[in-house]
Amino acid sequence: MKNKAIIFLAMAALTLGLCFGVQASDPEPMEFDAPDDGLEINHIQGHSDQDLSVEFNHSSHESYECIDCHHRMGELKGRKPPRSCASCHDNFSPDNLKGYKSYFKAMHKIRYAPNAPRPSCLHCHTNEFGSDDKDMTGCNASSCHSSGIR
Amino acid sequence: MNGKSFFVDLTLCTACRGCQVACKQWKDLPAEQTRNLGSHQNPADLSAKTLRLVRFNEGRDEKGKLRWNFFPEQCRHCIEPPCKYMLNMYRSDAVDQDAQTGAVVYNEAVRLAKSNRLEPDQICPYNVPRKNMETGQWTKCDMCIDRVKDGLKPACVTSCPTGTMNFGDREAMLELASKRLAEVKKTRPDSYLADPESVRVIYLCESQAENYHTHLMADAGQKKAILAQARPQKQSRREFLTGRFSFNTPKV
Repeated sequence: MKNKAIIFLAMAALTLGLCFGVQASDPEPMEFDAPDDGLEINHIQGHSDQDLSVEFNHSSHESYECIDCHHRMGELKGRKPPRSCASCHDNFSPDNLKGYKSYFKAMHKIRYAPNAPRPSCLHCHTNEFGSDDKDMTGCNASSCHSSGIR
Repeated sequence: MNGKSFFVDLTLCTACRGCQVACKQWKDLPAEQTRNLGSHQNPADLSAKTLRLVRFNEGRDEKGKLRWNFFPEQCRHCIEPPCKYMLNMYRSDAVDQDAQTGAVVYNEAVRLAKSNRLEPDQICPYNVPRKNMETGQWTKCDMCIDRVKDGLKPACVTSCPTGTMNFGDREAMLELASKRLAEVKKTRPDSYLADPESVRVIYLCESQAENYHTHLMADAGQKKAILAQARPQKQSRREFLTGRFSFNTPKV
């Protein structure tokens, strides 16, 4: 009886070891360099007469994980660089807000449920700074649309 | 057909507040508790019960002369309304832009969830819409769409005795605005129109935007100027305290 238990434990240890071994033989996840600062994002262009561009600096968001915003990154298993928001959220008209494709919605919708997944720009800013901090969450002359909505 | 527009000639406004009262009467809105804040402006801010407000502001012009500026504030009925995009994310029928007039109209039946804590600055570059805290309904000026559809002018325009408020087809208003601007410029060369391309309420201003109100224009420049004036230079707590209690503190 005792022997059986020992054999079982030994087998289990061997299996676990094999698992780790297989994992270790996986290629190391790639390291990605974030784009340079001063990245101008303006996908709404052509769908608005106004300049609604946002200057995004990856450096000022360093305290967050890539996956906090690039939320499909897990599927790439670190083998491909994260994709732009616009590769999936590719409906750029601010007037058509149906479904997940709406780019405007992906950037602006605040989910008020606690611990809501996939936060938008405005969601995260609102949680971080409070909804009355108009410099950080306001639509005009704020940290996002710094040159105004015109 | 380019819809309707207002032309508001601030050089003529005497702050009689006829428009403010007319708005309240036509919309049948209740009074609200106010108190004296040391200004003729009353109430202190727009609210769900006050959709239109004449703001009183004192400011100095470039020569240092004191000027008393009056600014009858209302929804600008943006050509591309951010509030429509923002509120319609939560309820697709919350805001509608009338195809005929261009008026941005909030659906009175829509009440957003209690948990929705959007602030006016998050949905409007001019900080105009207000939420009725009791019902959760967002409100603002609707261009008196009921009157306009019947061929009447909005209540505020009808009540204006000075010619400050004008209303009509957009082309006519833009033409009137540029004609009037040229005239005013003869005596006040720094006059300008506030955001005429992007809104349907075109203000003709003779003083710097910040002398009227913080949100006269949807432009970052004026805001930066205001902040630069209002914010003291960075100083340490020690500097602040010593500077305050001694006149001869050397600057570090």
